[in-house]
Amino acid sequence: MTAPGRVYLDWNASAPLRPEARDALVAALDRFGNPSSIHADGRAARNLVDASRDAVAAFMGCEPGEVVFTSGGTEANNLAVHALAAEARGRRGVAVAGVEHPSVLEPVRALERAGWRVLRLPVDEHGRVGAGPLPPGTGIAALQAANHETGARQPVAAFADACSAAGVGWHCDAVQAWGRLALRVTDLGCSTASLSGHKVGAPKGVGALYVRRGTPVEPLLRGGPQERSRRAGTENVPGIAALAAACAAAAEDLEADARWTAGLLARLVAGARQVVPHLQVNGPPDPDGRVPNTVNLSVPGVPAETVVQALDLEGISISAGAACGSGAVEASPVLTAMGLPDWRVRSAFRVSVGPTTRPEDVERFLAALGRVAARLR
Amino acid sequence: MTRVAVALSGGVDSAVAALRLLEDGHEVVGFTLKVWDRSRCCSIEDVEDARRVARHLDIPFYVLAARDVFEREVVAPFVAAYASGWTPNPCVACNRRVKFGWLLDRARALGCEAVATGHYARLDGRPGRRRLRKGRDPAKDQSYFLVPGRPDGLDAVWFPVGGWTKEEVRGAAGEAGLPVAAKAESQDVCFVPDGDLEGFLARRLGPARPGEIVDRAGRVVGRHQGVRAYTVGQRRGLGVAAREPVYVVAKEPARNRLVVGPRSAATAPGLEVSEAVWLYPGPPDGPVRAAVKIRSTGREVPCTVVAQGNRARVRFDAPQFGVAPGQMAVFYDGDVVLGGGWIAGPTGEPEG
Repeated sequence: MTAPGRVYLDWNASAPLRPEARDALVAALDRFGNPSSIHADGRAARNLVDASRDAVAAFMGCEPGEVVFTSGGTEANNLAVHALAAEARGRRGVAVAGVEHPSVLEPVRALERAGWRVLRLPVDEHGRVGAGPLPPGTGIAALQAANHETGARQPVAAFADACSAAGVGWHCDAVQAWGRLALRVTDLGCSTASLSGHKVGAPKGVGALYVRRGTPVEPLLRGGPQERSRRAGTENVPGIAALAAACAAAAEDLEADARWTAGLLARLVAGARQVVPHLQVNGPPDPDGRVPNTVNLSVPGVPAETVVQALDLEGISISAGAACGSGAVEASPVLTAMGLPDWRVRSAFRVSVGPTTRPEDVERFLAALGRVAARLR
Repeated sequence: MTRVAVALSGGVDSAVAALRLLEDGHEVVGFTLKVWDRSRCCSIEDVEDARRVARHLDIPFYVLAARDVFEREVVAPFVAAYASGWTPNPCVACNRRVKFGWLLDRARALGCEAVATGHYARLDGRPGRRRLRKGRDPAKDQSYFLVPGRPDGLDAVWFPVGGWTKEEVRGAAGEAGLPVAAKAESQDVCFVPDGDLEGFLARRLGPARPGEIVDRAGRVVGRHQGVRAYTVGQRRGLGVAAREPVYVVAKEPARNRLVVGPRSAATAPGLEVSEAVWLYPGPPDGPVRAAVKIRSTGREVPCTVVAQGNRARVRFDAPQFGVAPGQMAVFYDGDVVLGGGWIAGPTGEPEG
């Protein structure tokens, strides 16, 4: 539930808890046994984790043994880069675009410090990554399924072909695509793919990494045989149960949710163009080029920070740029990597909706944006 | 109900300022400016303290990335002033250009009618007839730092604790359970790490250039470690052997020289002010009796001031020691600030 009276349009930051996930979470809180224990209490917890793994595997489109539960999308992305790098022999080049999430880019930077070469993939002005032949020397590669700030859908099929041609394993950060696009990791052809629980209506603190059968995983966390020794540590049983429930619900609602959110955003963009002259859409101009729930906009001449704060005071939650630890808004590295002019980067804000967003929420957003734009003019 | 922005520093004064505004029935929005810390990403303790205050008061709170404006309006002029031999006052520039300029613009865009800070000074009169007065607590008065860059520069500024003593502020904070009630005072130049001014300037301007110390007749009497490290009136650290104590009389950055002399030579009968600003009711027509304060830690001294366009001439009743170009000269009538401006230099022949 959103706070009373508020309009929540920041689903890419975190989605409200799905009721199914809440129920599963609460029920699992009493399965207190340790899944590694031999006794009945342990088995009960273990059974819940296993059943959840089946559900999450079905959602991701893979075998249960290919699912590694993690603490979230960030850990999944870190683990993927770490694992692929450990197995890449010879070619020490990592092909990646500047529009990736920091939880991919920072582990890549760590590889760079360890002597790897970073091979930057091209990005066009709409935020789409070029999926031509891989740069020579590529040992591993990464491409997101959809961008977290612009919603841009990336050419994962063509990229998979390029990676396959070069004999390179690649990681797909699919965190922003689950529940929004029909996605199956086996179709993606990647070695690894990440999932974040709280983006699909599960609580924070749980996620998963798909690891294709036969791909060795050098663990980041050591000290136990959990997750087939790919991720040590007693399982987050309630989180995992909630993740499975959220995935099942998201799969069932996928097509309806996609149509619903796309319709809301079509109205939102059309309405915003009426209240803000010269409104800019950052990212793919065609809605089909984006995930259906995300759009990135600029009000010329107004810092995004101001738009976000002004709308917040009007009761509306949206976001802008990259949040830094202090809470200040820093210029978005995604939009910078797209080569957009500085004024557009500084004025870019993101609106992301979800299945429980209502048409009247969009109208309230538009009315507030109109008031704010009038004050700033 | 008026929506007001409060600049929360993470300290007790601004926290109580916000508290007072809430008690007066205003809608309060807290802001903290992230002005520095270029190398690491955020997480300064002061920001966390400010956030804690906002949480305690249950008000919206935003951190603003203000590095660019702070660099442009405060740090760059600060460095440039040292390079040209002045002793700048960055707090004045920060108040004028950042807090009561840039932040006010940002706050207005959010529907705020004013910016409030925890400064110890009082404002009265409506916009257009605004008068700045000393804070009620004589030990804490900060009016010296608050002279605006334009006569209307304080029209949308509030100082909610100006009528309180520090003790009362601490008491109110404690009573309200504010988490910063016992916090220590901030000091020094906030953007110079560890107070190492020379190290900071060296990174900006290159290493200091040692040179000659001369007496007023031009005789070399010693070596200095770079003129920017010295202030007019300074006595310590000169390393000049003389029968009587010698003081910095003048800095000559163009010749990389430091001029020293006896105390009387560092004493001036008056001073010249540039970029003078006169608050309501405006510049005086002729010479006016006032008290002038020429450094933040000093007491004000009686004088006669003459306004001359955007400059002003001050004649002290008794000659004053250590008139440092780059500091503020602020004119008072009792506790009312008449105006002020930058000290361009001493006037007249020093005595002796």
